[in-house]
Amino acid sequence: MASAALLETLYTAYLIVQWVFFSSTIILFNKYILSSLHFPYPATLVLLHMLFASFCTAAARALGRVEIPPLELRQWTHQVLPVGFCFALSLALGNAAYLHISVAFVQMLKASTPVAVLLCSFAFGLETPTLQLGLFIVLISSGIATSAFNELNATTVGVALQMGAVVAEAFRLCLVNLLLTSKGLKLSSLATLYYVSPACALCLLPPWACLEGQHLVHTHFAPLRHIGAPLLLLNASVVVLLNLSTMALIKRAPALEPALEPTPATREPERQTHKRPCDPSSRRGAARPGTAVARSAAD
Amino acid sequence: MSGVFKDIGLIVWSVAVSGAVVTELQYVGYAVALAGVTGYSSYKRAQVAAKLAIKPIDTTAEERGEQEEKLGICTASALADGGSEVSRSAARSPGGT
Repeated sequence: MASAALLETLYTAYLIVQWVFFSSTIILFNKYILSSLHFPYPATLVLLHMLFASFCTAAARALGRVEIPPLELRQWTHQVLPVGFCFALSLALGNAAYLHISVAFVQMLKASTPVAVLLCSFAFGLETPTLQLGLFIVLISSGIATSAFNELNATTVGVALQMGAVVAEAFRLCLVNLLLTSKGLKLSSLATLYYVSPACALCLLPPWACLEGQHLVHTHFAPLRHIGAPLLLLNASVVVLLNLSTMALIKRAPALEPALEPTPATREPERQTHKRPCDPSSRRGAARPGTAVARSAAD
Repeated sequence: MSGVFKDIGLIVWSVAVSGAVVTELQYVGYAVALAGVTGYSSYKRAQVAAKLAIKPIDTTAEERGEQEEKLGICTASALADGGSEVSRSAARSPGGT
């Protein structure tokens, strides 16, 4: 019995290591493509990720490998699309920041996310301001401000892009709560990826066409050919692998699921949540919408 | 906490491998911010735990299971960047419980 328990623990540890590996890899990989390989097209990169993720999940569903609960078009446009919009914004801005500032500085700025989430939650009435929360806000903000003002290679554009990404991410998390969770729409991680990725790609398309698409067409996609299909495919695969590893980890140990939803107050009782026609075991793995893809491109 | 460790690891990598320059004051600032982030996480944890505590007692076994799960989920509140505090996993794994 003891050895069985040990194996279980080791397996969980393996899943954690795997998740840390993929989530770190994607950050360094994106930075490498955007910065080291001089590919200044962050929206293109995110668009490719989202199209690839859409393709993979759609293929998995078509092949009958996964069951994804159906969603009405109205639900998709009113509840999923706004989340996809914020997600697209957050990923594109976050990746664009890599063109201007170092990974280290980006990670520091990202630590301010709880502040953005709290301020956003206050604005939406999802959270009541308390003295303690105010203390956390002051602590985190002052720490990040100290880091930012002492960064030697800080650029205004880089900081603005990354902070924009943080704000968009905070909005996304609040919207997940307001539009999905509190309305009883609870999708598994894979279903989230299936529905959010195309929404994200759709929202990215217009700004991509204006900012990067035109230039890429003019140069006959030379920058894309410079990076090469194999590397881009590998990069997009890491995003999907990261999502799969996140799913496996959450299913294994739900405790790892980020408790970012601003408030449990508006959440409806568990039994009223969307009943999914999947197998009962997947229930444990059911993640909050958006949590899975949250670790994709700009993570 | 492995979410935090991941972030720290990325900073170390960025400095050691990519040659990013991080000043001492930046480390101090980041440490202060992490203290706030950790505090926020435990605050959320306590908030959700309290929320579960006031639920009616006459719940069915299934509901109790869900509540436990919920509690488990929230035991490890995490950062928005996807850096979940994975350290709690041990407590939730079948080996730990």
